[in-house]
Amino acid sequence: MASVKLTTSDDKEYTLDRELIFQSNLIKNMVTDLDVFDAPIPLPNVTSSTLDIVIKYLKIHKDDPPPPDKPIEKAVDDMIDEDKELMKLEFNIMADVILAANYLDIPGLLDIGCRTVAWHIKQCKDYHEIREKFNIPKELWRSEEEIAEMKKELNGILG
Amino acid sequence: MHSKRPTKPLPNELIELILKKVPKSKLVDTMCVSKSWHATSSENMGCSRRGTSSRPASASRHSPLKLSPTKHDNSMPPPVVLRRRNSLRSHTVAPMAKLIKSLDFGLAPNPIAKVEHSLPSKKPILSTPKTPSLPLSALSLESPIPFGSERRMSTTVPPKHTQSSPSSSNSKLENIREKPSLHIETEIQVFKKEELKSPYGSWSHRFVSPLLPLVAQLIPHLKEISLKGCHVNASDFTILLESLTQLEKLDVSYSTLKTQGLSQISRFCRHKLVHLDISGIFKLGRNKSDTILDISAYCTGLTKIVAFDCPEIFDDILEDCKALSQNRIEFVTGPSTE
Repeated sequence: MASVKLTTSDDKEYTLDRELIFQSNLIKNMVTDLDVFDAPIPLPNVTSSTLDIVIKYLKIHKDDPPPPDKPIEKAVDDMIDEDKELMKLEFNIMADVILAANYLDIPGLLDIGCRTVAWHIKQCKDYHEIREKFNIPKELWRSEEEIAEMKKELNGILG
Repeated sequence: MHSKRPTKPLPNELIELILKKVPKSKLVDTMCVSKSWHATSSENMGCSRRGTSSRPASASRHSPLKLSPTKHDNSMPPPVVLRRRNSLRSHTVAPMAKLIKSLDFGLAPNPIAKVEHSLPSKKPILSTPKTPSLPLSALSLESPIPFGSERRMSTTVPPKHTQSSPSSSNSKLENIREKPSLHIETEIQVFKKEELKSPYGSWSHRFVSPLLPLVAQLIPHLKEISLKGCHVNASDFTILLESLTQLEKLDVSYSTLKTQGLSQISRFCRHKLVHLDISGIFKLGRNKSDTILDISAYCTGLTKIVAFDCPEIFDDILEDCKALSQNRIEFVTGPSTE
């Protein structure tokens, strides 16, 4: 079986089966368009530790049918156990995985990544915790009092 | 190897993807995180409604009135579909309507370079809806809407009306929908004959008056409304202003409002109104500048009037307005095209 060579940003080389890596639309298009198999494809945005996780995902979903065109709305924690296991990551690594999934164009991984992050957001008690998690600095946008007021108003509307 | 926090923040498009999957109840918290999160979350919640004039490529050419919700809005399906199925049940409509703070009919012209060609129009200028030189700054807050001639036939109204009271509003929407389609062919021919490449929609497509009483009835707490480039009756406008007691920002630029309608602003929006846009409606003798004096005198909360392209608001009137309002009001004026 033909294989594809990838180089990560920290100069590690991977040799992967075409079947496996073709779940990534980016690589698939690159290889089919350029028709080059020997030269390694550089992935400047992906580190080797992130790619390891991506490959784990690809191995789990090797035999999946191609995803439907229209994504199905699923509940936040509705995913198979292997994926759940895979997504038990530290938050920062998860962010890297999502970025890599977005870059490599792997819809399935992007979806479960986003859903896991959404689950994490759901677990946060308040917005301070979300800020902490996403490393969002405090902005001069609205003062604490204004935010509290806005929150109260919204909660009143939503009941 | 990794620090505890993400080394670089996730790009906004990914945040959007993630926030789409966050349950609605949690969106209140995500709205508090930062400005960009607030914008994305409130879009998901449906706080701001904005019509777009562009017709999606897939849209049928026989449905000139295309209803389209704000982009990235998964929470509510497009109202065209929504009328028949997936419609929100009545008990969910009221709270959702309460969330809407701003409404934009999205009919403003786009300041594109080629508009100069359309200046020497043979038609009476009153019947051409827009003056072409809408200053960029007037649109800077929103992404401008491409309003090319090929999109002339598509008009939008905010989806809220269909959701809220399908039976009553649909009949009205149907009425509006029929009007443009009748005119399309003739209009195209007229435009071709006169070799006018007008980037504007014709007036019949911009008739939003029947929707205004509905807005007044369903979302009386609205804070911002934009009637940019809309065809509005004075009576419907009066009903609207009477109900919108919380209105802070009113944009009537390039609309068909006449003196009768404008005088209602000083009658009903006396305390809350902060921002008023009257660009392009004081020219060609359509409106008397007395109304602007009234507005300056009676609207005590008003701090900013945008009046681009109003050649009939002379400097001495501006001086008077400033004196009447004790220099409270800041006027933003621009060059006129005349």
